Amino acid sequence: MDSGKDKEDQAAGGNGTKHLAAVAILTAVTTVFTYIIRVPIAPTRGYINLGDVAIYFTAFTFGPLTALFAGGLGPAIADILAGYSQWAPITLGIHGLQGLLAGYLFRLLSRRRSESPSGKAAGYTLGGVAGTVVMTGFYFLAGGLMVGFGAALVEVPGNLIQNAVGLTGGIVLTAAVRKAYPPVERFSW
Amino acid sequence: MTGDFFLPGNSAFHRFDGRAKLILLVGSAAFFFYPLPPVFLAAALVAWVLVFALTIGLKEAGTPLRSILPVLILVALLTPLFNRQGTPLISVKGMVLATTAGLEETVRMLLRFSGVTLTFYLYFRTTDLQTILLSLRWFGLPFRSSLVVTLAFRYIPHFADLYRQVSDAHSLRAGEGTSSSRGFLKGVKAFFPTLTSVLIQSVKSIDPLSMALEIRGVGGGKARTSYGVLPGGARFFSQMFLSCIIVAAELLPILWR
Repeated sequence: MDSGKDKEDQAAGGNGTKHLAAVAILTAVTTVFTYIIRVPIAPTRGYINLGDVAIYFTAFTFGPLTALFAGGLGPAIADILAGYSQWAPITLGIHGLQGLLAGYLFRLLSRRRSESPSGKAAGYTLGGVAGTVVMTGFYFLAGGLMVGFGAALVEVPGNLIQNAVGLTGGIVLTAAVRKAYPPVERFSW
Repeated sequence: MTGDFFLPGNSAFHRFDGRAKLILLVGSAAFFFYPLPPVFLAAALVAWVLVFALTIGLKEAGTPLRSILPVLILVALLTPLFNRQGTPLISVKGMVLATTAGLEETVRMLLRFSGVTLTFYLYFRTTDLQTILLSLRWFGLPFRSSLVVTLAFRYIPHFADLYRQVSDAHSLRAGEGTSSSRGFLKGVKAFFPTLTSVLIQSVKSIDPLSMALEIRGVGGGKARTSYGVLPGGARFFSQMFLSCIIVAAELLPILWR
């Protein structure tokens, strides 16, 4: 006899198409968060893009594999649309790895502590730190090869701030979306 | 927002086979990373500028270069400071600011970044999304991966509009002014209900899309036909051959050295 969850999965089209649809939707969301939605920083008249917010949200809510694909493809597509296609292959790999690690570590730690608040907090922290180190470190290395390590070093503080904003926003949105729309748990992969 | 970077045209590069162009893109972008004297990189950059002039226009070459100008300035200023081996050229109060090796490395980095930028820009400007995906599929990209990309492009404008609508709705409900008038922190705090609404509406799209895909036979395990097919024949083979010859020729300076 099918369980309620199995019925829901069948209604949603089975595991294969459900996960494919989730990756496609979250790729589009991450692209929009990276390319369209910008938070102005009044003192500098600059902008923070929310791509990392979407990547961490995807990692913590949908799991490491969705974050690997959507987290890599979304910003890569945004790079192409914004006219920075030379960074697209690098972005695909780095942000995908960022999402994969953040999602994997969050799941590992939160499940190890039976989804307790302390487990989730540990997962958010370690996942965020790992994601930050991977993203900042690999962008520094790739930037070093592309434009020299001097110019690549200038990008490091901005990437750290981007990750801090992304992690904070990702955690807040994960909690908010889970509370407002509990069925989101079904799509975790 | 069209969700596409392609500039329609009828130049020779537009008509060049997508698969051959992809080989040319990868090979030519890699060339700028080869350990060669800057004169070779400069020759390759000039060649790409000529291709721009003959295909989509020299003015188009200015667009990506203008966008990376701040980075090029940073490269020009900082690379000599991080490469101070070799014969000193500029010294101030005993501190070496630039050497011959440092300047050579600076020129190499400037040419590298400019060359890779122009290569990628030209490829995406002259190749439409369908051709890009069919080319990648020809090289082995799985069907599901290309389906994800096409679906994402379909939904990007939809979610961009959704964000604007939800953002307007929240602004009207809150009855506050623009984000600049209410302060940075309040503006950031006001973002979160908007983003939460957008995310929930987005996530609700997953089930209908999943069911639509299943009805269309995705995940059914049967071999799929393709709506679009890239042409074969003599023209395809000659263009592939030409691309391979160009990429192989780019290896000659390394072998010669």
